Formats: sequence, C-alpha cells, structure tokens
Amino acid sequence: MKIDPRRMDKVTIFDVSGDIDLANSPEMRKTLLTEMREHKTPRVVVNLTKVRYIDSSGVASLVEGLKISRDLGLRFILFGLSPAAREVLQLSRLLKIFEVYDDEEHALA
Amino acid sequence: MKKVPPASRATASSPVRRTSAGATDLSLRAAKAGERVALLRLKFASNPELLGVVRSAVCALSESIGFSPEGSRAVIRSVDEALANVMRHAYGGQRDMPIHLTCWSVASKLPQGAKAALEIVIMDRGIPMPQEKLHAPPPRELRPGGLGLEWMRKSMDVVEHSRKGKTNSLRMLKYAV
Repeated sequence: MKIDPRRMDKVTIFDVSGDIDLANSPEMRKTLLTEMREHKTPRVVVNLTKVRYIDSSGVASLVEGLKISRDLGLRFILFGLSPAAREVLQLSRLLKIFEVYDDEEHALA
Repeated sequence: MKKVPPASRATASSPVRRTSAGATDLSLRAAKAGERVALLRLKFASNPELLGVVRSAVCALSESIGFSPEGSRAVIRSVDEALANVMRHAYGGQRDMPIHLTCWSVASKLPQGAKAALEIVIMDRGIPMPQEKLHAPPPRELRPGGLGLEWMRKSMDVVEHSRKGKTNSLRMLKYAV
C-alpha cells in the first residue's frame, strides 16, 4: 500500500494504491489524520482508483477521517471505488454516509 | 496460553498437486455428490504481512471451483477478516503464532441452484472470542470497529465459532450460485 498526498489550492488529494489491510492501515490512518489536523485543507479527497482491496481496519480509518473532517469543518470525499471497496461500504451501510464520486474531475467540481 | 512453535510453512494437500516445476496446480475437480474434498491446507504465522498471500491463494481457489468474481470477493473478505481477528484479538498482535486454514469443496446437501460449495475452517490457539462480541448486533452509529464480523455474517452462508480444548475453530461455508 502506498499513500501520497497531493496538495493543491484548498484541496489535498491522497492517492492510495495497493491493498489496504491490517498490515498497513495504521500507516494510511496516520498519514490521513496528520495531514488533516496539520493543514486543515478545506477539501480532503481520497483517490481509491488503484486500491484493489480494503479491509475493515481500512474502512475504520476512512470513518475516522470523516469524523475528524466534520469536527474541523472540512469536506471529506472519496472517488474511484473498486467493486470490492464499494461492496464493503454497502455492507456497512456507509455508502450514503460518505461523499462518493466516480472520478477526480467530479470530486473536484 | 501454551506457546507452540511458530509456523510459516504453507502446504497444499491432494488434490491440489505440485507440478514438476514446483508450481501449484489449481486445475481442481469439484467434489462429487456427497463428497467433501480438502483442496488447500495452509499453515502460517500470525503475521499481518501474510494476509495478502492468503488472499491470493483463496482467490485463485474460489475462482477455480466456479465462484463468480462477486462470490470470490465475499469469500476473500471473510477469510481476511477472520484472520485479522485471530491476529489482533486471539493472539494480541503476536506475529509468530500458528494459524491453520483448510478449504474444502463440499458437494453434499447443496441447496437448489448452488453448483458448488466452499467450506473454510480456520484454527488457532489464542484467546477465544468473547461471547458478547460474537452475538453483538451490528454497529448502528458511525464508529470505527466491529465491522469485520458483520461483513463475515453478511458475506457467507454459514459462520460458526467453536472452541475445543485450547483450539479456536471458525467454520465458514459459501455456496457458489
């Protein structure tokens, strides 16, 4: 798993790739939450286009990101969900809780 | 908790055959009516870095016996969450404790419309899952945690936890339709 933040004007995009599971979700969580707390960019976007698999600890990290974004008054957006990622958000009834778009263009619109 | 030697050797049992080149032959035959055939046995350490290896093996196996991509993802998700629970809770994060996983092709008592069934048994020697967690309702409020068991229950047709002596056993069954 790799996670790289791209900082733009009023937006930070996190490009995530690979499988997110118990072995690496703490790293994703730390990168996301540290960036959000330190930079407080108004819009935080997570690019999941290259994520083939995400487990419950990865989804829990996204839920934490969403909660912190609400506390800080930021928008927290996901895009590029694979079938596997979409299924687990549906199973957890979280698909309607997150702001989800198909691609980067719509996520930044 | 009694310590047992660390395990890291993965083994495949008949009818999963080793080719002369050493690769695993996954051209499996489905179990015949009434049969329960062991397709894959893995013995590995409770190290989260190995989860991807197990997911790959279970993915190849489930697809080879006729699961759809969606069904295969359900199996992989459930195995991964079950193993993560063992690593995190039963073994408390210790990375060198043994986990046994066996996959069976089952062809008895298939419900109408099912063309195959995959039974997965995961065994460990860690702390048993607390009963209140096993029977807890799905989390209702927006909070991290508690998702794995819910996903397993929703993804598989059967999920059964048991404990015999010092061994925890999780049996899961999924029908390929």
